[in-house]
Amino acid sequence: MMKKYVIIGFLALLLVLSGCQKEDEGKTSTFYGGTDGVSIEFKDAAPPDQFNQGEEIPVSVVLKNSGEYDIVSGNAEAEIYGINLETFNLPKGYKSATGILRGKGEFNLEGGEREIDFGNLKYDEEVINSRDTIIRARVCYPYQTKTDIPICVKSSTSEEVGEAVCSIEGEKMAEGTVSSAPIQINSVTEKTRGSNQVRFDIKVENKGVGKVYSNELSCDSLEDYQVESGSKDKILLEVINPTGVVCGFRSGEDSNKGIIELDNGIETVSCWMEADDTYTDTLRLTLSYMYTDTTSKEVTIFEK
Amino acid sequence: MKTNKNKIFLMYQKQKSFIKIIIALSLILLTACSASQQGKGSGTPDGLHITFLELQPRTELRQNEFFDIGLKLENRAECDIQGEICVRDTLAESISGVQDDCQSFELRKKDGNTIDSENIYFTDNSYSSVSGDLTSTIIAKARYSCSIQLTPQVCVKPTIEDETICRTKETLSPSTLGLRSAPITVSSIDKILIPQKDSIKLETSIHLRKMPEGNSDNFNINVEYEGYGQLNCRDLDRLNFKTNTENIINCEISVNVEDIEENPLKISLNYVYETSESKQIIIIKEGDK
Repeated sequence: MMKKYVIIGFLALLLVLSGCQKEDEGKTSTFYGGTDGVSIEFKDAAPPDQFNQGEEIPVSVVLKNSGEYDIVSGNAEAEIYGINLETFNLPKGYKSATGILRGKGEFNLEGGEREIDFGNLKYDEEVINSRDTIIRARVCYPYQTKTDIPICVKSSTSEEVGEAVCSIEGEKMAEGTVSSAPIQINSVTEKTRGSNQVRFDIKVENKGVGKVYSNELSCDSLEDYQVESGSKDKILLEVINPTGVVCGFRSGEDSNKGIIELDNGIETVSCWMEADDTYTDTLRLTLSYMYTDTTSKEVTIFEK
Repeated sequence: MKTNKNKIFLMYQKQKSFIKIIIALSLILLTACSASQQGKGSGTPDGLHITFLELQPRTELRQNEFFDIGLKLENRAECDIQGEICVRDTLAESISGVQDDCQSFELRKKDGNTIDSENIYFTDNSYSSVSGDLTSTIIAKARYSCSIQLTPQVCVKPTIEDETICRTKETLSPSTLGLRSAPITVSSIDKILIPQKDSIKLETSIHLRKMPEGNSDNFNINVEYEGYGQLNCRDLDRLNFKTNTENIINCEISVNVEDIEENPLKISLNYVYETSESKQIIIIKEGDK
C-alpha cells in the first residue's frame, strides 16, 4: 500500500516539475534569433489552382513578419509579376500593406501578418483546352538587424599582463545576441590593435533566401535595372555602443556609421576603439537595409 | 520437424505469390502512367494514315472480276482534317481497271487516345481489257488541310544577368507542353534573349518537321508573342516541305519588360498536306490458270 502511495507521489512530483520547466521556457536572452524576415505567400484560393478563361479571380498575398523588427504601416510592399499584367487585368507596381507589421515578440511569438489585395484577375485571351502559367509575387520591405553582443574591452598591455576581468579570446557572437532577420552577424572576434586599442572583426552574411539592397531606396526604384544593380548587397552599419568605435568602410571616412557591401553574400568589417582600461561592454550594432523575397503559384486556365 | 519444414515451405510459397502480385501491379501502374502522358504535347509529326482494307482488293484479281477498293483513313494529328482522297492505277487508261475517282472526307483531331477514322470504298472496278497476265499498282492519294495552333510558354526578362527563373538561352523540347502532333509540326524551339538599348529582343529558331510520308506546298505560319504582337519571321519563301523533312524559321520581336514574364508564343500553322498509299496487284487473264 505504502509502495503505491510512493509511486503515485513520485509521478505527481514529476508532473509538477515538468509543468514548472515549461513555464520557465521562453526567451532568456535579448533576442529570439534566427534568419527570418518577412515572408510572402499567395492567400488560399487567391488565386485558386485552376479557373476558366474569362472568370474574375481574386488575387491576394499574405505577408508574415517572423523576424524581430516591426515594420511601420505602409512600408512593406508587394507586387505581382511573372505574367503580362495587362493580359491578366492586374495592377502594375507595388501595393502597400496597411497597418503596422509587427515582428516576433512576447505577445506574438509567430509574428504579425498583413494581407494585400490585388483585386481580380481576368484572362480573356484565347485558350486551347488549357494553359499552365506561373503567377509570381515579390515582397519588398525595410528591415533592421540588431545585436547585443557581450565583448571585452582590453588593451594589449592588459592582455600581456594577464588581467582577468575578461578575455578577448574566442567567438563573441552567441545565441540570442542577434535579432531574427535575414541579414545576420555570423561572427564577432576581437584582437588587440597597437598598444591601447581593441579591434572587432564583424562578419555579416545574407542568410535569408531573398536579396538585399541599400536602405535608401524605395521599392519602386528597384524596377530600374541600373539603380537595382548599383544598390544591391549594400547595408548601412551603425555602431550604437560602445561609443568611440570606428569602422573601416570602403568609401568615406572611418566612422561608426557607413555602408558595407556584401561579396557573394558575405562581408567582414573591422572596427576598433581605444582601450585604456579593461572592462566588459555590449556591442550594439544596427544593420539597416531593404530586403526582397518572392513566391510563385502554378495555375491552370481552362478554355471557357 | 516435418511440420516445421512444411510451414517454412508454405511461407516461402506465399512470399513468392506476394512478390509476383507486386510486380504485376507495378507494371500495370507504369503502363497507365506512360499511357496517360502520351498524346499530350508530343510535338512529333503525325497525320493521316491510309490503309487498304483486307482483301479490298485481293492481291490477285481475275480479268472481268468486279472488285472494291476499300481504304481505312485514320487521323493521328491533333488537328481536324478535311480533304479528298483519289484512287487510280498505274496502267494506261485503255487497259486500266480502276476508275479515277475521288471522295471527300472529314476527320476529327486525335484526342488523348481517341483516334477518328473512316472507311471509304471505291466500288465497281474491273480489269476487262487485258491481253495477258499483268502487274499493276493501285494508288490512293489524299490531299487534306490542317490548322494547328501551338502555344509553348516562353519567358523574357529585362536583363540577361539573372538565370534562376528565366534562362537567356534555352531549347524548348518536344516534351514541353503546348507542342502538338500534326503532319508538319514544331519539333523544338531555340530561344535567345539579346539585350538592346531600351528593350530586349526575343529571337526564336523554330524547327519545323514533317511526317516521313507525304509533303506539302501552300504552307503558312504566323507567330505571335501574347501581349506584344507578331514576330517578324525571315525567309518564309524559302520554306520547302516537298524535298525537306525539316525546315528552320527564324523569328524575332523586341519587347519592353520591367520584370520577368512568361507568356505563350502562339504559333499558327496552316497548310495542305499530301500523302499516298499503294498496293500491288496481279491481274490474271481469263482462261489462264
